[in-house]
Amino acid sequence: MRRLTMTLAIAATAAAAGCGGGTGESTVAPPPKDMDSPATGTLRVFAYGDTVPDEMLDPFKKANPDVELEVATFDSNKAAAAKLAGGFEADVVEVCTDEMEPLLARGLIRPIDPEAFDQFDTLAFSDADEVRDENGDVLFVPASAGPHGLIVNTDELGTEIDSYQALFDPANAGEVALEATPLTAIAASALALGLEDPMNLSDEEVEQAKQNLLENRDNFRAFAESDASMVNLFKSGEVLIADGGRGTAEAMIDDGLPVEWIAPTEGSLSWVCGLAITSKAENTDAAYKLIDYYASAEAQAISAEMGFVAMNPDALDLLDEKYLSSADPTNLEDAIAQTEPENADVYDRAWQEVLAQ
Amino acid sequence: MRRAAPGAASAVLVVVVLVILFGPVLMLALFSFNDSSIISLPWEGFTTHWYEDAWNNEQARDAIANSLVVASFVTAISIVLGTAAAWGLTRLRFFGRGAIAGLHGSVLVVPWLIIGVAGLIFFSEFSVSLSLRTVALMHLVVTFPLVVAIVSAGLVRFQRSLEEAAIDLGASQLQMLRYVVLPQIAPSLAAAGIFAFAWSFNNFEISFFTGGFDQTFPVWVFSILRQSENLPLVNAASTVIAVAQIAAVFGAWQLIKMLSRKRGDGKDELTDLVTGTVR
Repeated sequence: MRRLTMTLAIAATAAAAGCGGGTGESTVAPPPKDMDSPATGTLRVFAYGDTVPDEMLDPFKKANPDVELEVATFDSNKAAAAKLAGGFEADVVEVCTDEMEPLLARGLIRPIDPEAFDQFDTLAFSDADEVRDENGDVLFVPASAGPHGLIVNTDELGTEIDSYQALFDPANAGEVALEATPLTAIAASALALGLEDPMNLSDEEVEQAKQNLLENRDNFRAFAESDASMVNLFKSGEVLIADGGRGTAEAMIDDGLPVEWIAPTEGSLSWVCGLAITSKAENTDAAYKLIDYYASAEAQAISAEMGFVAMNPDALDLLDEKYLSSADPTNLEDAIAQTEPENADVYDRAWQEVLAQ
Repeated sequence: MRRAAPGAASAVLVVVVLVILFGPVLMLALFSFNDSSIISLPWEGFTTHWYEDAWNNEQARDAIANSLVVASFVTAISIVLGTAAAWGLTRLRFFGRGAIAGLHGSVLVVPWLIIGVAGLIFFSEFSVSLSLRTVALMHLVVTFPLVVAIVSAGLVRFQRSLEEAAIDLGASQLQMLRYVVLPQIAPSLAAAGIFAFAWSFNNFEISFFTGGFDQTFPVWVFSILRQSENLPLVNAASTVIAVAQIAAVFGAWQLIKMLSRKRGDGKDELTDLVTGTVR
């Protein structure tokens, strides 16, 4: 419902703003002449709240005392796109690969020059297709990610499981949960069937994935609407295996549950978010400097302490040992970036049919 | 005996309704003291560190302060304007009165998302920078008709013969308003104020679309819930706010009771006024 209302909001803002939003610059934003000098002027940032907490921004403010940082937050890229299309202006916006389509469709993002960043090529996902547009221009610098694979109760099921096929194994009937999101559920089913590109399934392949879910409907004890629901299902012993994020598994482990997060052999999925420059950015120099800071080992170490994977491998040297396993960017090796499929509506309908069964 | 069964059934029904209404809020408050980032049983131990985290979070403090400022301003302005409008609509006879009353009411059924988007586009068209001022202005769009509706109901119930008696006894219009009308509609004003404050403080949709870089509490909350680890922090902050709002409502109720006693009303009259009962 929220997705529908936000879609309506985007349509309304775009229509009322004269199909605008894209009236800003579409060429590559010029990098500052001197990346090492402190930023100045007003820098307006529009991001998820947990991307811009004080502990993350304070070092940047300290290093750039003359910059006036203004921060606004959103709860989804759809909401961000609706607000930007309606006329709200910012210099830097956070984008996530699985929901950035409305921002691209409205021309709200300006490509950036990766050469401006010393460490761009070392960042996880920096070479992913999703980071670039059809012309090969870089749209954003990856700043955070979260791998999504299997969560397994190893006391009950052992440590042998390493495939999405375990979710559909009759041996686990009635003890499986899926995250109740169309993209990950259809993708998990597709990967279990051997389909290799779960974010770009044809309509027929989505149908196959749906049939796989329907035929094995009895395997699924529950479809978890939230991380908390998933944790509760494992805690109560109702569920022994599920698809889920590494962060969710870490929360369970912290709570004393005998679970392990496993990267499936078919490839784990991962949400990927980063920072982009908006098409109407006024202070591109400061925007580049903020993005450069977010890509730095220092900032990525802070991000890792907040539970995210460190996108910059150098950050591992700055981290306490207890964060190393969850922060290690090798968690993301071969991970499939979650992106919004062109036929997302087909994914949605297929998932609704599974829920209705 | 014959009356005991329905009485017991009523009591059970009331308890069930109360549990359904307030159970989730109580659970939220309870888990804000649980020493685990996971909102689930079993109980992992008592802690207050989520409250310390919330208190030490500058963004949370700023967001709550912003919401308080906006909601206080919106409540005051909407009470003044809404009462004036309600007075005009219930006491004056003029062409288009019904249409204007209907127009007020219609705003109440427009989704807040639409009002928020409309506000954003409006401010954008006129190059008005988004800020807490624009948030407050758009909150007024929804709280003003609410106050008009509540105060109008109070004024309609109020016996106009008392106004006429005051005038006959030599009171000026202002004196009549000050000493006769306002005390009579005080419960309606208090109820309208509580609702206006709560609507403004808790609003997300309008605040998100019409806000700038100073954020309100609901906007901040939604923006950090991507990570479930932030849930206990939100729980703690929300519990404090819920307790403060309950205390404010209780305080308002006591104020209304005091005003009613001064006016010579009995307990039933006060309840009737707030619940809208007509005897």
